[in-house]
Amino acid sequence: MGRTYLGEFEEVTLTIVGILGEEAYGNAVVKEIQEKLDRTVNLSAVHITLYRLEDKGLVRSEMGGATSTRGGRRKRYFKITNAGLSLLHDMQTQRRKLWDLLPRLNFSGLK
Amino acid sequence: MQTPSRWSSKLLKWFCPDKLYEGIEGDLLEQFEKDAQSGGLRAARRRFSWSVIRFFHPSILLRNKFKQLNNAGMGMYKSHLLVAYRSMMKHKFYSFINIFGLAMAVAFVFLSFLFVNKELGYDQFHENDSIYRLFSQVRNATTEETEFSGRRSAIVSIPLASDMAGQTPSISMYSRVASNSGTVLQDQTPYQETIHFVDPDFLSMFSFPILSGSSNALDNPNTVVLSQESARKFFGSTDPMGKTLEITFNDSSQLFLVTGLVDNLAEQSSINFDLLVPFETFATVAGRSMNSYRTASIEAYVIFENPDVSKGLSPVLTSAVSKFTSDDDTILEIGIQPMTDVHLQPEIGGNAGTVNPKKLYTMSLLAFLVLMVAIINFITLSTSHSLKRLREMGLRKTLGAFKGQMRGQLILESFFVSFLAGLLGMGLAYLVTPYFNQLLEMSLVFAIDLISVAFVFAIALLIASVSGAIQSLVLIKYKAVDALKGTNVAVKKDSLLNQSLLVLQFALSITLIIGTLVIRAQMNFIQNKDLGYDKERLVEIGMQSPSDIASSQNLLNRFRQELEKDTRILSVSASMNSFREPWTQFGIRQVDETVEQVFFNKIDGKYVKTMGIELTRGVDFDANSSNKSKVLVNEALVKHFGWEDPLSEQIPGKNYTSNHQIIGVFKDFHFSTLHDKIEPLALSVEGGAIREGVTGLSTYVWPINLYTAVLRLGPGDLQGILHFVETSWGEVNPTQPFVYSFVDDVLAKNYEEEMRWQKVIDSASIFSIAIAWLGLLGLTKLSVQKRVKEIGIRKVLGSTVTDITSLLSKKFLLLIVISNAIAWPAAWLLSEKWLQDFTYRITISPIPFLLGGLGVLVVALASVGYQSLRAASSNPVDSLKCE
Repeated sequence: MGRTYLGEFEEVTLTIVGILGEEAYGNAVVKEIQEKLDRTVNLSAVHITLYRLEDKGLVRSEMGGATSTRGGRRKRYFKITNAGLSLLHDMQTQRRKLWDLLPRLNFSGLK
Repeated sequence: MQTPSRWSSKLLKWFCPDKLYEGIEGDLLEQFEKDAQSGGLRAARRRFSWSVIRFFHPSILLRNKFKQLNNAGMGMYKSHLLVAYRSMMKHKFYSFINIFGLAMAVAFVFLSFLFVNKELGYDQFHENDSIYRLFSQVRNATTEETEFSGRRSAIVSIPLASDMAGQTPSISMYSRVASNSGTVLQDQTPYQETIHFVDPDFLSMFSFPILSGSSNALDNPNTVVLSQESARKFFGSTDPMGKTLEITFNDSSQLFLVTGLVDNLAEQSSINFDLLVPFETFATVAGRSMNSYRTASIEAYVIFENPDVSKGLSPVLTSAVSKFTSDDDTILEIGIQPMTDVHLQPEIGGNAGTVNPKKLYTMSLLAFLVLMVAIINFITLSTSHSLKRLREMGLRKTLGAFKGQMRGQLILESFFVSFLAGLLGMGLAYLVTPYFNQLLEMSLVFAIDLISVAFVFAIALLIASVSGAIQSLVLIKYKAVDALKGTNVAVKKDSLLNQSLLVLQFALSITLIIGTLVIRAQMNFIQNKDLGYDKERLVEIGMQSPSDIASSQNLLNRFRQELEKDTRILSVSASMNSFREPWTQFGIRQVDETVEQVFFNKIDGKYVKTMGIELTRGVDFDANSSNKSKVLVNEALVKHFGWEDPLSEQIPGKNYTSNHQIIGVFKDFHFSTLHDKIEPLALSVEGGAIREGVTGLSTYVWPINLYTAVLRLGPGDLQGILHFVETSWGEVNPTQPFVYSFVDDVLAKNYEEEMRWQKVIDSASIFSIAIAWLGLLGLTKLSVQKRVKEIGIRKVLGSTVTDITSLLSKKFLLLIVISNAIAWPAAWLLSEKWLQDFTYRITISPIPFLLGGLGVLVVALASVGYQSLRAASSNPVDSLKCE
């Protein structure tokens, strides 16, 4: 198996799933993205991305318990896997490495 | 209760995979409830529906559909391909035969496909699909018989198309196409060119790409439109537009302004032209016949916008022109023929080259046969070979493979091999296309396009499914235990199926060989047949005749005088008709209104001597006395009229008032091809000798005049003699180019088509024999290998090498005898059918049959014998020691 790469939205979704811990399901992810990033996303886009992440083995899903709201439908909860976590970690490390290489404006010479 | 709209819920349920449905619908409902509280029901509903639609996405729809296949299935296919590759590499000889044989067939089929495709592609580029060519047929008004043996001819009279367009509103455009040779003078050099005369609609009716100028280029008189080739010829690389060309027809020369340059698409078009000039110009050539319905000399095309019109003779059109032609006792029946049929209907004669669709069928059939041989080969070989893999199959079965899976594997393997063969075949076809072109004098272009790739793919698929299916039938039926033990099954005799396939394959090959030999024999016969005259060293020279007979006779006399100074030229004469074209045919109406057809040629007094025609009665024309009203006739004519004493007879005819005199009878000679019987023919020096009674006419040259000089050359260096002739021609006739042809070359040209077909059949039979032989080689090797132990035991028990060789070869011998029994009648029938087209033909002799049968037998026995001999002379210890 080659290396797994993530798109930007996939990365956001994966991170959010990680943040939400036990409570990550479709609507919760939409809401979280709205609150944390001030970004409106469509439910279907989130679902599609979650399934894709599941195919890549980065998240796992299972059905929750019965509910009284939402027409009695159960929720599909997603949970980040170890592979997902380590991938996020790798990505952060790499980003930082690159970020450190970026030339910065140096104010020290102004005085 | 607040619910989202029902249709969107239903839609979601319909397209969403069951596994995901609950989670998705729950999330959507939750969203909906929240929206309904905060924003209102309608907005919530709208958002719900919209969200459902947004879920209609491939990754939702197709989820869990292909996953299974992608993971487990692909791995399996990969393994199958790997197994196929390994087994191929393990048995290199067998794989080579299998793949190469098939590749050869694919190459042949592909070339035939190109050929047939090209022939079918003629005239398809015209965008207007209501283009028709006019044709006519002459019917006797009284007897209702058609004249000139009911010949339908696309050569029609000049005013026909224009008159008809005036009478028939559904004809929106028309163009007549006439041609005549003319002399183009450019930079002081005369070029003999065929000029085409067309109506102004020509360029807009037909879709010849116009490179310069417009479709109105021919609207004005004295304009000329050039093809790319002629433009290059006359003007080199400079732009021809606006330049002028001097063209001479019949002694009158005119200047023409170049107003257009078109691509004549010579490879795909029935109308071939190099120089187009407006039709009015044709008046200088045609003279009075410009308005006459009596002579047919041009082709005419119309745009006929009437969807009801049927192909063939049309009463409507016939009556539309009847008032113009209501001269006498014949009815001119008019018909139309779609442009796209012109190339494929040789029965309607015109100027365009045609191909008999029968030949295309034959070609396709040949390709099919060769492919059949190869497929059979492939099947027998792979089936016998796959018996070696019984153990593998048994193991697979034991490990739980389903029949369907194993069948899938076998088909996939066949597909792998046949696709490889297909690719190799394409490569082979690419390599031989130039040779094939040379052979057939065609210009096929090898192009890999979607169609050809799809074609190869289809062939591979066909082969794969047939052979894969048969293999699986043979292999899978064995019980796993038997297969694993590999004992009694593998030694089993070759199946009946295999044997009958082998028989079929050899029958096909033998049929092809016999066909080839018969065609060869007939071609030899034709080329060596006594034609009734001496065709060797006979030269025809085109005389651009002056308009009257006297001056062409004068020209001939001066030419003769010049030539007779040299003894290398034996005799000089001239005639109206040449061997390049069908001769003039007269229709002579009889008292009972029937029409007798007599061929006619106006000749010079020395013609009979020059040609080497033998007189059987009477005398030749005499240069020193008047030849008025004198004719010579051939024996066919005498026989046709049943004359006892021809010299005292007259050619009968209703309109004859004065007498003509038959002064002699000559032996029949072939003035047309050997496809036709020798018909009655009359020769006269005096053009009008039997003209009086003539009521119908079919001719390539008109009026009666001398159009061709005929020279008999003596022995000696041909180039030198020709050079002398050319110089003499230049002296007596400096303005005309020297155009000559040898009669034997011209005759050979008549059989060009047959020669081409001979080559096609030759190559088909070579292909098929090669393929069949490869197959036999593989098969014998396998069958010998299977019996290696048996041979060992036999040897140990005292069999001699001869015994064993004959034991092994006997079976194949029998199969080939059976193949012959099938092939001979089939070949006989096919050859008879082909020979029917020839009036003068060989009777089929047994020699080709014996040669074909024996040839195959020898080749087969040689390869079988060799294999058997090798097996028989091997040391039995080697084959027996492992048990």
